[in-house]
Amino acid sequence: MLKAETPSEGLRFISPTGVLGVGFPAESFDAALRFAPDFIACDAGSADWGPYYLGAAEPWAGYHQTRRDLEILLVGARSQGIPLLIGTAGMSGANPAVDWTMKIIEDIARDRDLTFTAAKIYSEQEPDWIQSRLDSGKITALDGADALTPETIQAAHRVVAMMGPEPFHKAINMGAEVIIAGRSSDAAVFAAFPIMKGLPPEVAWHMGKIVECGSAIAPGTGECIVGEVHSDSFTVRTARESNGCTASTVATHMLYENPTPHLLREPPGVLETSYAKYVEGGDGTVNVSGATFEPRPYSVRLEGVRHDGFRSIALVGVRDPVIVNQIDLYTDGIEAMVRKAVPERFGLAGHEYSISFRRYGYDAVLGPIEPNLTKKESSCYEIGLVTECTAPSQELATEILNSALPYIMHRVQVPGSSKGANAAFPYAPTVLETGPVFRWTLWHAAQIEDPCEPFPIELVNVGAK
Amino acid sequence: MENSPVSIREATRMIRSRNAGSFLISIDFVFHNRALYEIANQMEVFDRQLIATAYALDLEDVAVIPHDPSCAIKVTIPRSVPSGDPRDTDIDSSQQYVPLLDLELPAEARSKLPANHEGTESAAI
Repeated sequence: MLKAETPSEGLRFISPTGVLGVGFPAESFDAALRFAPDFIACDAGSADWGPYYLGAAEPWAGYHQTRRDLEILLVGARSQGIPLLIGTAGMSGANPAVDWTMKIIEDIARDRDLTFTAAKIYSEQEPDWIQSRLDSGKITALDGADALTPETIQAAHRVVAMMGPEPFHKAINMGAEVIIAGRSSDAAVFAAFPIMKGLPPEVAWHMGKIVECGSAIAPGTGECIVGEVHSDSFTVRTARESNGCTASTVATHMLYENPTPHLLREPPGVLETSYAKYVEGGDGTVNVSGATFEPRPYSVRLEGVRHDGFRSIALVGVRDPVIVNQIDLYTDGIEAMVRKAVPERFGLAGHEYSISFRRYGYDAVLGPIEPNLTKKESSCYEIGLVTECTAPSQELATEILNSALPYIMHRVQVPGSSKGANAAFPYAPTVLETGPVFRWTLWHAAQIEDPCEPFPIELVNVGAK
Repeated sequence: MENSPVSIREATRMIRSRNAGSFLISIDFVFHNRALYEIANQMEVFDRQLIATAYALDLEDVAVIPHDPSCAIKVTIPRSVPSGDPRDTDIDSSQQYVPLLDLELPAEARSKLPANHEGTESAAI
């Protein structure tokens, strides 16, 4: 239980969980609500699990996972009459993912008899808009991505821009009490409300970065995080009493998924934390101060993917030591037979499809830098072989792989092996369809004049009869 | 044992590799205490050339960044292919710390190890 605390001018928040849909203890959230929060914010996505979710506009967390968390947050926020801000809806923040999340909000409101104003903030960008930014010299490549070209823009399947806090401000000013936003800076979802209330950007942004992943700053607790933002510092703690947050665990989060722990580039500028102080309050709280924020030309990250055909895979187990020890000969042999057969059987040229192998137990995870291979210390006795094919259609990917199964099974002859069968299939059907393949092609910063211009807002009267 | 070097696993409470965006890998080594962290820094355990060799990179691609508040050393390197590329083997870069597990602190660091330490904890989600 939280001690009754004297209300102060500080702004109080709840960060319930690192990603909407991953779950948090309902009892922890109840305790967080007793902290008298001024707002609840939660991130619902990430680019870190690859380009598929943006390409397909499919969420990672499904309906039931998402609804469970969202229902607790929505009912809690409405019971207190405080804003609920959700960023990067549906994993990618793609427009259909925003609509999908709002549909869950509407389902909950109907079942729980809630009425309120919600806002959808969209973040997808049209090729013409991106091209106009490129034409005016306002786009730069990030993190070693290739320079942007008109061809890349035209070939993109879907592109989102990462919003800062201003579209959240606009939606709140339009009357929104619940915000479902497309692609958003993780920290901005949390910094938005404090900045709007006049708290300094260096405190708001530093708080946003520290709490964006929920209980990551209290490892092993799974607790909701609560905190308070003041004009010179902020505090964080777990919702229920624990020793989870320490100066060290909180400071460690500046390292998380960040190229440097000292600088954080956000749409309106750069947060610098080199001289930040993390001080334990002795009551489970950690007080953080000392960051600076330097404004820069307003800039949003563009994240975009190209659609590159469809993939099918087959899982194959290799146990014969003679084949394990000559795995290159075996996989090269399969590939050569596929390459020979495909033009005649399927009418595809070599560049129109791919066939490749992941050799689990051997080099699948680290590839050519696998230390056991470079040191010639392999003690491998069994290889999990994932054979994969990408082709212009799902049907062709599956058929090419199906036609490779006899080569995998017995057509490739590995010297010294049994001459019987080469591999074990754990599943029938043996070929599994994994769907469309996407790759990141846009990873660029676009300078913009109006922080809200690329992010249209749509109000929804939820629960209105 | 008394005079043996201290492995990087023994010296740290967490070793974590993750994407830092879709084009970079960020590897964090969080030490048990300031003494071990300072030995690692002073002895240049995180030698950039050694790291470049382990990942088949050029020296200028490797950044080694100490972070005093968390007693951590961060290594940031480019990905060989973007996250989720058809040739990618590790979409969130979560096993990419493995080539650095052979790093060691000198034997004198052994006296700085915490008593009954539990070793490396798992990374946060």
